[in-house]
Amino acid sequence: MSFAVLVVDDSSIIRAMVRKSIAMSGIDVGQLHEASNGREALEVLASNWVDIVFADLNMPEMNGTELVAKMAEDSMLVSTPVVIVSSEHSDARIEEMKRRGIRAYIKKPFRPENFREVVTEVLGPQKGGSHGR
Amino acid sequence: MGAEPSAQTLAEVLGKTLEDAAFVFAEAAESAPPFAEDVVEARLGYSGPAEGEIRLAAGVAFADTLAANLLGADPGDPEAVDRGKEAIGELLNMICGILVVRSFGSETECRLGVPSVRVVAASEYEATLPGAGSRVTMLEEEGHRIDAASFPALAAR
Repeated sequence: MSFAVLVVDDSSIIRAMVRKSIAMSGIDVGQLHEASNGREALEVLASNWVDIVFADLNMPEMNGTELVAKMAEDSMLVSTPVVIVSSEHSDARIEEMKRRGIRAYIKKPFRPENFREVVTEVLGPQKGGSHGR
Repeated sequence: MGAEPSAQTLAEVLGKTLEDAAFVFAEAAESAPPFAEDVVEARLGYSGPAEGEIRLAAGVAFADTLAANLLGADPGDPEAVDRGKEAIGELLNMICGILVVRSFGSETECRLGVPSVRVVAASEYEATLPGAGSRVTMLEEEGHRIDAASFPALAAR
């Protein structure tokens, strides 16, 4: 079964890089949604099943930290795993985000295998899928 | 700022990031050839134990090449056309993330801003350089120039 993925980043070039990396990683993706900030991501999540969210931290309008907080308050979204993809590398920042409920953290610059490893860790190998809300 | 990145640190981080993200190999140059075209300049502020700004600059054509490389596309590929500004902004984002950890340590929380990017005349760009606390010019294999500079405690100056 294929996964439904949401990529959230205000940079379209980073979204394209994530798209390519996921494609190169061998992850079986059915639907790949995109959003340019947390507010747009919540709109996508309100009307689409998503298995995993890859989100940047620093974005205008609603940043990654605020997105994680909003999802934690929503009973329909609280179990949707969020992976932060960010240039912020400090252990302090990563630990803070893990306390807020993210499932994993990918540092930029990233490689396709980073996505493969994280998806396997979070969703399990070749399991899960677009099974609707 | 107690841990301002040195020119050598800027060179190491810029060189490694170009290599890892864009598959470009560059070396620090002692003398900087002038930019022969307009310059894409990105600025990104950070805050933590100290505040400051890191800047990254490259010629517009080389910036487009970097965009293509980031995307794994050929130069001129429609996907990469006119994305040089985004490429320089995102490379700066990556560089800043590494620099603040090297400067302040991994246990210290330090926040990055959102990059601002502009295209300026080469002369206008060069006029900003004397204000830098440290800076480095690097040349990639085909001679294209790319600069990184640190402007510590900008708000206080």
